[in-house]
Amino acid sequence: MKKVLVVDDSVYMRTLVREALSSGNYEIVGEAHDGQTAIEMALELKPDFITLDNVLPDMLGLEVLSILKEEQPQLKILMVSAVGQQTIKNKGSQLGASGYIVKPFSALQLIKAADEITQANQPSLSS
Amino acid sequence: MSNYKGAKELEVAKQLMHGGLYSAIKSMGQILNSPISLQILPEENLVFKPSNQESHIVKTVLKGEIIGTCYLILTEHEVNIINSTGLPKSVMLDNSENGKAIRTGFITEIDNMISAAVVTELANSLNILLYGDVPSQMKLPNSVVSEYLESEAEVYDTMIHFNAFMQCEKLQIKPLFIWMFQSQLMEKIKEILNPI
Repeated sequence: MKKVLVVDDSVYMRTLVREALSSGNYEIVGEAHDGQTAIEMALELKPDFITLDNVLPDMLGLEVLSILKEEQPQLKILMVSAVGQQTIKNKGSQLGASGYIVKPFSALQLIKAADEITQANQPSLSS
Repeated sequence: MSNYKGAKELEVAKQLMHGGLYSAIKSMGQILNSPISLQILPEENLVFKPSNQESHIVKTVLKGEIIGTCYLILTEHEVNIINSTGLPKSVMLDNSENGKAIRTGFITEIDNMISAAVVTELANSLNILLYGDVPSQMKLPNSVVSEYLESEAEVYDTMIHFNAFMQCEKLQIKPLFIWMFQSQLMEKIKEILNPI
């Protein structure tokens, strides 16, 4: 099971993401409601990937992304945001986000995005 | 708004807002699994009918290259309908702090998604960086909502505003969505219309 840290200021969204990914064979190892907590938990829990909201009470998700990619370049981060603007998507991509999913989304769309991220760059069984 | 009456910038702003609001009702319809229609109001038609109910106001402050705020205004009855439509029964019956937080968070998240639809339309069309801050929610007696909005318009030095009802006939709800902007919106549009 891949270990996931869920970062979102909304308890409703954290619940939604947790339930969706748990049904998709992911283990939720932690939840953070702000950027600072997210950074501390990511460094301590060493998840395989993080779902990261872009607007947090203390900083932008893009700032969290930048800090974490410096500390743990191999960490995979899925940006989860209601904002679908191209400038933010491009910035996320430049900073090393592995994917971007725009709210509202279904559980299946989230699991698909998570699967694509966690399976990327892994050796194929058939090769 | 009167400063811009008849100006081309105002027409463009209206078109952008209409595009964003249509994306917003699409997002809201997806969340509630029910079709939503849009009723855009002329600003002078913004009237709150007195009632015994309280209004829930979800406020989002815009950050980035345009300064503004938006307000999603719902009655207590509409909040209950939305929660019971979009949340599992177990959450509706959960009286713990977590259950209450999820119910409050659901309305806030709806606001977050629909305001982001408008923000995305403005940001992509004007090629600017713009996002909504974490929304805040409050309850006010319906009788003082107009007064509250007038004071907000002064606090935020509002130059232009847009009002629309987001009506769902199936669920019998009609929340009001209000957007207030400072002058930067019109200045950005002017820059695009009149490049140097």
